[in-house]
Amino acid sequence: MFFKLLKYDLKSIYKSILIIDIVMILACGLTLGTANTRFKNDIILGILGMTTSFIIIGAIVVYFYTILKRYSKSIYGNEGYLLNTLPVKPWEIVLSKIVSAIIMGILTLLCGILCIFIFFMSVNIHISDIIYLFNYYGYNIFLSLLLFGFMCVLATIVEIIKIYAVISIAHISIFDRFRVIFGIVLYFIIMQLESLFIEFSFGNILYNFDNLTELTQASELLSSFNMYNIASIIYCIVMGIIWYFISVTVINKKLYVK
Amino acid sequence: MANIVEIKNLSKSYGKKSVLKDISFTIAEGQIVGLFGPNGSGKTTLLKTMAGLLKEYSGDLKIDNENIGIHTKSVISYLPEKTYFDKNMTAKNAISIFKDFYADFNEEKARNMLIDLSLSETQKIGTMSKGMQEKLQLIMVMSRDAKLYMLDEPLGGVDPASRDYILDTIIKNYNEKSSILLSTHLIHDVERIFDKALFIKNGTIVLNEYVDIIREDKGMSIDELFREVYK
Repeated sequence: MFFKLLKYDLKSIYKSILIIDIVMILACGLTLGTANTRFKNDIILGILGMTTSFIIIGAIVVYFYTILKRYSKSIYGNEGYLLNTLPVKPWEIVLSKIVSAIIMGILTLLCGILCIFIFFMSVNIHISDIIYLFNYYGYNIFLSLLLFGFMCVLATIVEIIKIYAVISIAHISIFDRFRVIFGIVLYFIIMQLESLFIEFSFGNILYNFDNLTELTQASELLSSFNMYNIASIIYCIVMGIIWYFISVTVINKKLYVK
Repeated sequence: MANIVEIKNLSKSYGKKSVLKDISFTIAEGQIVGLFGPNGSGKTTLLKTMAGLLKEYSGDLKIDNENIGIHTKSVISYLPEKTYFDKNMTAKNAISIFKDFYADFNEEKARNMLIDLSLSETQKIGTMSKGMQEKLQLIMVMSRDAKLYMLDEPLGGVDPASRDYILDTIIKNYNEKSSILLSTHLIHDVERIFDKALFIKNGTIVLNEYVDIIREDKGMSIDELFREVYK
């Protein structure tokens, strides 16, 4: 049943996200095309660059808006009358939403990376220059950046799961009359509590990371950076599991489809 | 005859407001039961709780001898009063969903009913009128070979010309082991089909009786009794 749910979740979100992803690539392509023609001039390139940046931001906004709206509407809105009466388990419902968001997120991310490369080509920064940069500073920095990139992707996924949990909590019947305000306030309270927790739990690593200038050796700097990334990845995994179970528990025990 | 629905002391509140108060009743296999009551009496809340859309309640609620969960959802075919399909979907997509998730869904029956009620398989649901959307949902729900059909105001937005077809569809498409719990305001139009009547008032069952007994003992139709009870 999980894969059937995933199929319908993807069907319901792919169109709007795919359209903005294609627009994003086309806009970058246009920038590159203009940069290589005789119409090339700094003002036109500047305008195209700005437009492309806005479209990339737009793609991210459309992505988040689509997946969060779908989650809220399909579980707690009118469509919840269908979804919550299907013979499927609550964990399957939440997991299918998360996996479909990850799939479309990875697609948007890949399109975004492609756009960045196209943009580099437009302003005459070549991939070989970047590779040379990595070679110059050594292989370790590449691995560190890879770890950092993975941490960022994981943090984004956990952020989505966290917002899913907040939406679920805000839909409990006792918050019915002020659910939107409650959801927003709850989200910011959670953010504050999390930053306090991070400060007290692995603040020492953060301290080293914040004071990079005091670390003279490159290897110390890198190991501090890696430690921070590893700690963040562990924290993200733990929090992701907690937020996931909160979302499932609300559907299991406190479901209220208005 | 075994009971498909067994409810004991069911209570449900929204905050401090008590909507269902200590409700108890049973529905036997093969019975068609009418659920009647004015607006806000608790009919929809009762059906939603039975369908598994409202989780916080007290009391004992068993359908096909099981608590609300995967099994009860697989044996209940529930028609809510809200339209629940995504507006970008078509009837064809709706058939595909029901076929994928319900083992008891009869695709051929659904397609035939779509033709009978002049609904296109390829028209987007968002472009259909409310009545057409309600007809589509009813077709999907009645195309299942479920043990219990729960229909919340199935005739509400449907034109009078289609009501008889829909009533006939409901009667024709359930087998003798299936039961129907149907809530409606249009008692006069549907009272011919019921075996039993449940009257609900302010969240409490005020009458739970066989229709034949109501007619014999009180000498009234359900419609007339409804007007007397709720006047």
